[in-house]
Amino acid sequence: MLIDTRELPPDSLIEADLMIVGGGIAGIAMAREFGQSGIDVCILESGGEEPEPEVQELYAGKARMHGAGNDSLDIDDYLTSSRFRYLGGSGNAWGGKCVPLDSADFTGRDWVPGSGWPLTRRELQPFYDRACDLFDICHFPLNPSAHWTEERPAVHLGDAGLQSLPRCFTRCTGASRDNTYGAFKASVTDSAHTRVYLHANVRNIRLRKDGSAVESLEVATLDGRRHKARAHCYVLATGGIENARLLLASNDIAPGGIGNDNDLVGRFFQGHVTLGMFDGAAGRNSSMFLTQLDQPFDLYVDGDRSTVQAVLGPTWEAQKQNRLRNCTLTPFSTWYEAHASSKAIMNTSFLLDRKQEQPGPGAVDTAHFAFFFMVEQAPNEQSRITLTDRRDRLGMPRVQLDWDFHEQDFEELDRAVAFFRRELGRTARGRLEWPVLREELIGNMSASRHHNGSTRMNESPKRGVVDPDCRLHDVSNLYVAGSSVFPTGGIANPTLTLVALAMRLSDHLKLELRG
Amino acid sequence: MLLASVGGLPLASVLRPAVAEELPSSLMRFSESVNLKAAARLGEDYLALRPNEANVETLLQALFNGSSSEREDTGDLQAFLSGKAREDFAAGRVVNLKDWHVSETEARIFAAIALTA
Repeated sequence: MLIDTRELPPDSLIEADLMIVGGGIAGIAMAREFGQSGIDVCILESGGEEPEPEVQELYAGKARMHGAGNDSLDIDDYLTSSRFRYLGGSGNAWGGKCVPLDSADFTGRDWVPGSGWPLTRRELQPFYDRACDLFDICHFPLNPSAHWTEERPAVHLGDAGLQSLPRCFTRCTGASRDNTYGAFKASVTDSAHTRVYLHANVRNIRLRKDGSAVESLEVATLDGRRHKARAHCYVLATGGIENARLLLASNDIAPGGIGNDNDLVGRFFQGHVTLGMFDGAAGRNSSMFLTQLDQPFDLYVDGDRSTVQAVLGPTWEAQKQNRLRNCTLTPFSTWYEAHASSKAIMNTSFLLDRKQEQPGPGAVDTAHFAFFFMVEQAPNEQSRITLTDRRDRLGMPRVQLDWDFHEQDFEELDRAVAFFRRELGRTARGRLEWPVLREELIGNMSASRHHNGSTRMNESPKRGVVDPDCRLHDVSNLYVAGSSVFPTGGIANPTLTLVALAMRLSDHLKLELRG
Repeated sequence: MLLASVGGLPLASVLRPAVAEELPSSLMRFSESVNLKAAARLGEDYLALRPNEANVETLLQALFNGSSSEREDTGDLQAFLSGKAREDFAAGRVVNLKDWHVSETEARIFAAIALTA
């Protein structure tokens, strides 16, 4: 059921068993899970059914990317270009790429400070399966080499410490052709069991005087009306930046913000950046060629989103042996003719490395691809979201994002490049062209719309904002959904994981609310 | 004057003492399969990094482990040089030539072409 909050009488009271703040992909996925459970669910969505500039402007603030040895880069536009404030949220523009976190990503690794989740991939697996069903894609088994089709089997790279990893695309995104995202949204807006309040901006979370639980939410419309929302349980599902902002801004009882006694809210912001250079035939390019392939690799980079695509990454054994962070190399078709010197290198390498025995059917001598790298950003407490003195139209403090890269992040990129180079070369599988200098990294990063870590999960309140059930440690009825709870972001696009976690949280809340 | 292609024959049967102006027969197949100008430019880049190797004999010694008797004993040339290149990558003996990360072995082949092209 859709309700326009602007049409409510002033000072209305919105009540439900479960109040979900945010009508994006996490909020809607959660609400769907309650279906006919008998639990009364409300979604409070800031925007309307379509984008509106004055609503989107509420996201504006200051943002900067910093990196050792690099000039800082102002990226203020990132705050409004990387997220979307209307029903469906950033899922309206999401590219649809689905990939789970690897088992390794959940593991504490002593070479990645701050790594380790309080749950395992195996524990999350049933929820990944349910998320895949929602997205109408095949399940991702625990063994990544098992997720392929007969037409597109895993690409084997000999005894290199590399593996090909599958990537799938869903049509359940507003950006997909023939998308099913409208139906996804309608599954709650048309449901008699869920009320979706549009133009309902939560500007403050009111705690009880002792701070132990949420008492109510202050809801505001842009035309100045104020309302109150009250529930047994509340879930913040406003996105990886906004979740932290709302907690920090709600400081009536807790001066540092809700859940922030240990100064963790907003910290450890991690994103994913793609690193590469693409100047074409005349310039510097990040590219690679593969030799001695036992099947054509072009299939996996052809951009056909109806089937499996592939990236390359280190095996878990290789990560452990080399103390590597998780990283991927995403190849895609070149759009330019290789330069003469590139061809000379390819031809020479082919002459050196070609197999002596007769190649099998489907074998490919040499294939040239452009690529970009992604390397896991380790948790960095200086990479953070804070509040500025400037206020938006609702009177909420605007956000400041300082997206910090540590020197070690750049060291790890160098190590990842060296790893891929070594593995391809020592197994006679190919060569890398990598032109990006260390001091050029910030300038050549392309930031993805993945906002991880700012309300991270940990068993201890001294190391996390939420517990393993995604509940704030010291606030008994307040939960967080979305990628802000990720302790580490791995190298996977976060949507499949945040939806899996949202489904897991829904199961938990059904028990809580029924109990 | 360039010699004819070695055509996969055992190394011992085709080596002869290198002449400074000529590409050794052992590397002939590489010159026949690449754009010589491009290969030479790559070789020049390598020699700018390692000017002490700007001599075909020095390059041959480095490529074939410095011993003339080992040159004769290395058997199939392609397998030998491929193995060397792979060892180079494993050991980190990698050179950046025009942003490509290549083995020292490959770089020396280009350098030999640069000196004789």
